[in-house]
Order: sequence, then structure tokens, then C-alpha cells
Amino acid sequence: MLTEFYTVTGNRPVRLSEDTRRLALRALDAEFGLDIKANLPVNMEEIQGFKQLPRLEQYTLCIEQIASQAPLRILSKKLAGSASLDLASFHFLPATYHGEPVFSSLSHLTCGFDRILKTGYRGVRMQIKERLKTATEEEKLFLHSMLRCLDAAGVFHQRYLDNIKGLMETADEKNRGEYEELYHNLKNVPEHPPKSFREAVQSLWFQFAFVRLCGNWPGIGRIDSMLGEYLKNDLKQGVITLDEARETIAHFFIMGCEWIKGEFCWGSGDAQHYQNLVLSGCDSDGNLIYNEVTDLVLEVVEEMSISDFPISVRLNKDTPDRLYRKIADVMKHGCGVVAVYHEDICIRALEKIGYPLCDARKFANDGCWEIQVPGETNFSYHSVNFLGLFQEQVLGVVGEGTSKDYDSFEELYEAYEMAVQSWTANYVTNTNLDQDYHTPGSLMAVFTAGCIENARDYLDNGPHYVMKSIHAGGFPDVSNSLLAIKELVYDKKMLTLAELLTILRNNWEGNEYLRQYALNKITYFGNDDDKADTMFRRVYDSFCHAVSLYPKKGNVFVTPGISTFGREIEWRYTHGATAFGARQGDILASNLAPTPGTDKAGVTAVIKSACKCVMTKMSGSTALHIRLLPSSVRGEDGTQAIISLLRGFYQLGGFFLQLDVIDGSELQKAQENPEAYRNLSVRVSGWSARFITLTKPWQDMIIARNSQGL
Amino acid sequence: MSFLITEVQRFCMHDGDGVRTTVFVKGCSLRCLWCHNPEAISANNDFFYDEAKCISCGWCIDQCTANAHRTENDIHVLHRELCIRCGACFHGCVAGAITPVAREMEPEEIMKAVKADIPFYGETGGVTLSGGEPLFDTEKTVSFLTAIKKEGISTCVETCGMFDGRIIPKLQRCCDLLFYDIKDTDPVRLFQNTGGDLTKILANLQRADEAGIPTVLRLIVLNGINNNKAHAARIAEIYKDLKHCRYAELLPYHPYGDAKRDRLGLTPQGKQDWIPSKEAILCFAEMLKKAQVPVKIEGSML
Repeated sequence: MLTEFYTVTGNRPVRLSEDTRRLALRALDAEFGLDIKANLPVNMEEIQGFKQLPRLEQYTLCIEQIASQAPLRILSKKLAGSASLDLASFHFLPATYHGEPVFSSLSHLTCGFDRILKTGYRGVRMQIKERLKTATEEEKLFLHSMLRCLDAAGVFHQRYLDNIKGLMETADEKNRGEYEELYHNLKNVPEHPPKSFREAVQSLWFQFAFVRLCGNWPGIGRIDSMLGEYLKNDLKQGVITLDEARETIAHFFIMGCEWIKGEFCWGSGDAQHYQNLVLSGCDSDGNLIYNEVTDLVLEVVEEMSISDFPISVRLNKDTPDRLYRKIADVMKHGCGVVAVYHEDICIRALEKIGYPLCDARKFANDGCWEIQVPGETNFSYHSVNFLGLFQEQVLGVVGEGTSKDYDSFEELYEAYEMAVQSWTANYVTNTNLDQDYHTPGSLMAVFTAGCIENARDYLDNGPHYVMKSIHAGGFPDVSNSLLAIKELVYDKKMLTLAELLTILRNNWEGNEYLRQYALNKITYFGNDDDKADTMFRRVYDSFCHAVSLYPKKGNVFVTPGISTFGREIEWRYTHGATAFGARQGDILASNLAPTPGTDKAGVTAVIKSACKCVMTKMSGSTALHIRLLPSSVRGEDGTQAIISLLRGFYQLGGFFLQLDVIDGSELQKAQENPEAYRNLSVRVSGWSARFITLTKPWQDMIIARNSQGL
Repeated sequence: MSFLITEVQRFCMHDGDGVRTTVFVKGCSLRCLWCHNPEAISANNDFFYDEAKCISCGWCIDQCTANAHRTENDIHVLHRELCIRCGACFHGCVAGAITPVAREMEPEEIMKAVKADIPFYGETGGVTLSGGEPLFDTEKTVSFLTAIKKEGISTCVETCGMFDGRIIPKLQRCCDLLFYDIKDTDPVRLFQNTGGDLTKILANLQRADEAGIPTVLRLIVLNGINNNKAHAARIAEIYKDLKHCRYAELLPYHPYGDAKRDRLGLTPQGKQDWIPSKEAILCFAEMLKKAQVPVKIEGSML
């Protein structure tokens, strides 16, 4: 049984009630996630002739079956609703036919929970009914499916109300009061707009829980923007205190870790269900959003090491000192729960590719760090390893081809640039940008603006915006390779390109002197060295330029992003030896961060190097992660240091920064003795995960990451 | 007027207010037994040798003028006792087995390194000169500090107090904060363990205070040497006489200096017994606090 929340430095504050803290520890201890393992998905064989039905009809039936059959579960007496079917946590609709899942589900989106808070499901129903008046027969099929999904949500809701009523009748006096309140808060939402803060939180949670129960992994979006006004009103009316509101938020967090099973997952850990939250930033009119909910969310994660809701704070010129301080307070405990966006850069990036300013200002993320307009976007991405492309097509040192030769460095660079452009052209031509309709998703269409007006499904170009992002990895490695080749072959003429490529093909075998030279005598990206960073910027610009040749078409955007997420683990088995001294099998750069081992000038140099690129070109988003040692952020001095880093990052025009505080040796200990570290979370990519639930290769990748502590 | 610099360390958060870039100057006026930066003691350059990194490529053997680097059974062997510190091998070892302890840097070059982190200094951060003893060569240091101040960057100097006090009026104009080490307050023990002259150290401290330079007293705590009531009481007396002292900061002894001594070919001289426990540190801090001295430990005021 867990007895405390993990921290790497200092003590976590205690603000929440003992009951709430205990419930959180039970959730973190995987009690509830283990419980749902026994809950089987709904069986669609029960429906006669199911297999012969159209896909959309099959989908609607699945949602209806789930709503009427999923086990109910009341963990918290403050919030009702639960995603109690285990298959949902594996990214499937939890409905099977002959033992096989019928549909996969949707992620990488943030639902329009904000809109439904305001209008209730009722408002959506009315909008659909209005649209039905002018709909074609085919459109009607889809719109009716949406209505049936809403009805299913209503069935699920009624089952909860009945269940709570039952509990009220059998409960003792104290519990009865709490169940009455729970019933009262759930009764009118999400069907109608909430009248209080507690109803608003319940509405948000209930919407989310149902979407999640049906296997989807959406982000939450801008929670303080959605809930702040309700709390302000209630505080003014004196119907709630800040402490009480904090309890409610804490229960939201506890419910969000009901899928923890505390065991190895297939790779990315057990807290990676993309439930991202975004805090602060400006509203559509450019006014700062910073309210009691902003603080309460940060206070809750400062106290409890729940990492299942990765939080991103939007920094802008108006961000108050107090918010910087709150962020640093959370960051100091490790677990990588909070990251930051440079809001102005993000907004400008979206504007540059054609988003109207008022929409760009609404951005949240998709469950990772890719920015999108929440509740209005269909986002998807394609991953590509540009180091692989460079080594195979430009150098010819991996794969079947033979080594290439170039008379000058510029000739070599041109070949690389051509390779990037032809890859991009190929991607754009072969991806059908207008039509990408495989899976029905009428439930998600309920939460996505555009789907009703267009009477088209979420994946069928219904949403206002369709964003197809190219997520390229390996740029620091490509840049470092180019730098080393330039110096060794073309500038210092220490050997010919042919000789170097032979050495690389042989994995540096027998050439340790040269390898050491490449490793130690050349300064690479990440050291605030202008020569190295200029090369990186050139590589970065070439990629952005290649993508910019395909401007928006209708509502479809192709955007450049730099991310590996965790793919550097797969890529380590395919890349060859590199000119900067890495061998086959070495773990190379993740996302925008320098290649492990090449950054030697500390964390400020890493930030400066990365920020020399013009980040407004990254409409597909990118992430820089840095890691500090616990000893370097201890005490008040350490808090101030984190604040200074965040401010520096903002001043230099970065994009997205995730800062983790952890000691690599501590992670090794956790690998050896997982039982003692069940509670330790680490930042993986756009999410955090409990370290011991990562598989060994993923754990090794996290350990290999650069630590820029002192 | 170049400086011999062992390191320009960016993003230091325990060397003054805010984020600081700490410049470690080589050459010191004390010889503390427990020195944390033994590579910075001598005013002459030297090299670190890390045997584990050596790939026996033979490069240094070709450079060596004193036959200190040799090949024995195809493996590189270093005979430090023969080394004349000529510098021929300091730069250029590709494997990083031999690395120079310090680099000659012109003020302009240091300034460039220092300015690199301006975006992170904010309103409080800046530059800290440490060492070694940055006031070892007082005139040179003062002129460099003046140049930094001209850039609008905050300046901080860490000193052991053994310097020519006549510089203080000039220092007052270019130094925002003095980190003033008081290694011990027992004059005999101080002299035996460090070679320092307590009278001079305290006199300089007094003068700096009279000149209005803000100070922080930095107190190394060594079990069995200065971790005692008498030392704490004496520190409290010293503090009481100062008008511009902000607080005292405790630095527990750590044995990392010996790892560096090893790579310098020197015998270790630290003792495990000197490492104070957390409780011992807290106890010492409490004594000071009781005597009205504000105390900082582990990066926070107590």
C-alpha cells in the first residue's frame, strides 16, 4: 500500500483532506485499474445480423450497448462517471464480435467540452435537429447516428442517477448527505448548462468519462478557461470555499487515474492516455486567463504525484510572477507533470499558415504537445526519421545502396535538401488529403464543431480544421553528422568522404582515434555554439521550407513538426554509425533535444541553441525537454532558478519546454527495485508515465537522455 | 591581461542571487586541506589525466618533452613526477583523457561567455567570480569587474579574504556582493589547515563592510574541525559587527575535491570523518540562528 506521494526534492504540501489523499494513493496504487481488468467488453453477437449492418449503424449500436451495459462505478462521492471497461484503455471501442474489437477509437484530439458546458447536450440536439431539416438522405443517416449517441449518453446518465438514488436509500446519515449532493450535482448535467462550479466539474467529467468509456483518448483542453467563471461566481455567492473547490478538482484528478494498472504497458507507460490539460494564456480577444482554477489545478498536482493529466501552461507577456512561481513549485518535485508553451509563438505559427487570429488564440493540445483548436480539429500525424533518410539516400551507408560521393559540402547538402523535398512531395501526394474516412466516429462528432454544419463525420472532413502533421525526428543527428563530415572531409581534409563512409559502414571498427576526434573535438548542436547551431538551423529551415511548399487546401493543413515521441527506440536498431562518433544501436536525439552526450555547456546553452531557430515555423509543434538534477534545484534558490529558466525560454522565443527533475542514478535504482518506486513518474514525451510501467527499452531511453544538472 | 580560467560554468544557482555564470579563476592564496577545487590552487596551468578514457593512440608521447608520457607494453603510462608542465600535451588529446586544468582567456572572451546567459539572469542574476582566489590579482580583477558592471550585469565575488585590502574602495564600485569565506575562527587551527591569517581576513572583512559592500558569510562546516560552539559563537560576534552582511550560508564539506586531486596526480587528503551529517549541519545552523544570525542551508533560509 502506498503511503506517500513521490517527490525528488523537499516536501510536498498538505492542503487536501485525509480522505481525498487516501483515495488518491489507492488510485496510484492501481487498485481501481486492476478492478476493471475483469470487466469484459460488450458483446455485439447479441445483435442479430450485426455483421451485415452498415459500419455507421454498427458503430451506433456499439455506443448504445456500451451505454446500457457498462458497469457503473462510484469511486468518489464528489464526481460520478467512470470508464469501467478495460478494453477502452487499449485504444479500442470496448465492443467485440467473436472476441475481436469491432472498432479502434480516436485520440490526438481535444473535444469541444467547453461548448457543451455552455449549451448542454440539449443545445447540440437542437442544432442537429435544425440541420436535419435541410439534410440529404445520406446526411440524415449520419445526423441520426449523432442523435442516438447523445441518447446513449443520456441512458448512461440515467443509470448513474438511479444507482446513486439506490445508494442514498441504503446509506447511513453521513454518506446519505454526500450521495444526495452527488445526485444533485449530476442531475441536470451534461444535458443542461451547469448552474454551479460543482455541476460544471461534474458535467466536464461526465462528458469526458463517457467519451473515454467508449475507448477514445481525448485531451481535456483549457480547464481554467472552462471552469473559472463558475468558481468565481460561487465564491462570490459564498456557496463554496477555495478549500472545497480544491477537493473537487482533486477528485477530478483521482478519477482520471482510474486506468492505472501498475504494470508494464506495451511501451509508453500506463499514464499516457493523452488527457492533457492546458492552463492560462489568452482568450479569443487576447485577455489573460488566470483564475482560481489555474491555481487549484497546480496546487493539486503539487500535492499529489498524479501524472495522468499532463499539464501545459501557456506563457505570455502578461503571465504573472505568481503563476511562474506555482509552475516552479510543481516542477521541483519531479514527475514531469507541467510543461510550458510560448503562447505568442504558437499563435503566430497557426496564424502564419492561415488560421484566423481568434481561433489561433483558442489553441490547446491534442493529448501530446501538438497545438490545435480544441473541439474543431481533426488531427493526425505521420512520423519520419530524417537521419535514416540522410544515411540511406544521401550517404548510402545503410541499406542496399552504395556509398555516394560529393565534390563539395554544398553538393552534399543540396542532395540532402532534395531528399527532404522529394520525401515531402511523396507524402503529400500519397496521402489523400481530402478523404481519409475509415472509421465512423459520430460520438466524437458531437464534440467537434463543423461536423453538424457539414453533416460529415469526424474523420470524414467534418471538423472545421483538418491538420496533417509531419513529425520528423533525427534533426540534431543529421545536423551533427553534416557538421562532422564538413570538418573532417571538406574543411580539414583528414580523409576522403569515401574513406569516411567505409568507416561508418564498418561501425567505426578499428578507427577509435578518428571516432574520438569526432566525438570530442567538434562542438555540436546544443552548446550555444553559433557554428553548430547555424548548421542545425539550416537543416530545420530546409524541412520547414519543404513542407511550406504545400499550403492549406480548403480546411486541410499540412504542418511541419519535430518530434520523435519515443521512436528513437525503434530507430536505434536501423540507423548506422554516424559521422559524429555514434555507433549503430546508440540511442540518438529525441524531439528537439541535442543528441545524448553532445551537449556539454549546460541547460541554458541547450535552450539557447534550440531557440536560434525561428519557432513560428513549427505549426506542427515541437518539444524541447531538459532534465535537471534534484540537487541543482534544491531550496528557494532552486525555485528561482527554474523560474529564470522559464523566463529565459520565453524571452528567447522557444516553443514548448518540458522540464523534468530527476537523477539518472535514481532511475537505475528504480529499474533494479521497482517495488520501491511504484509512485515515480517521469516525463516521456507529451505525457508522463510511471517509470516502472515502461518497458526496459523505454526506461533505458529515459535514462540515456541528457541531464543538464550541475 | 588575460586570465587563467579553470571553468566558466553557466546556470549556477547557489553562487549568488538568481541564475549566475560562475567564472573560476586559477591561483589561490590559501592551501586548505579540504579544498573543493584543488585544480585552482596553483597559479600555473596543469592537466587532468583520466586513465579510463585513454585509447593509447600515442599522440601525447610524441608531444612530451620530458618523457613523462610513455608507452609500456603498448599501453600509455604517465609518469607525473617527470612532468615539467610545459603544456605541450594539454590541448589536443582526442579521447579527452588529457584535459587542461585551465585556459588562458582574454577578458573579451570571458565577457562573451558571460553575456551568453543574459536572457536567464533576469533582474537578480549575473556573474560570480570564484576560484581559486579571484582577488589574488586585485587590479586585474577589479578592471574586469568594472567592465562587467558597465554591461549592466550584476557582479559577485567569492573570496577567502586573503587579499590586499587596499583594493577595497575600488572593489566597492564594481562588486555588488562579496561571498566572504570564513573557514575557521581559531587562528592557530586556521593557519595550520589553510595557511590563512585570521587577523588579515577579518580586517579585510571589516574594511569591506565599512566601504558598504554587501556580504554573505560562507562557512564551510567540517566535522571534528570547526563544527563546534566556539566557532559558531565567534561567527555570531563577527556578524554582529557588520552592517552590510545579509546572512551566513553553510557549506557542508564534501570529498569531491579528492576525485579531482586524483586526476591531478596528487594524493587524496580529505577525511570521510569531516563530512557533517544533516543533523550536524542543522545543529550548527540552529546555534547561529539562536545568536541572531540569519542562516541559509540547502539553498533556503532557515
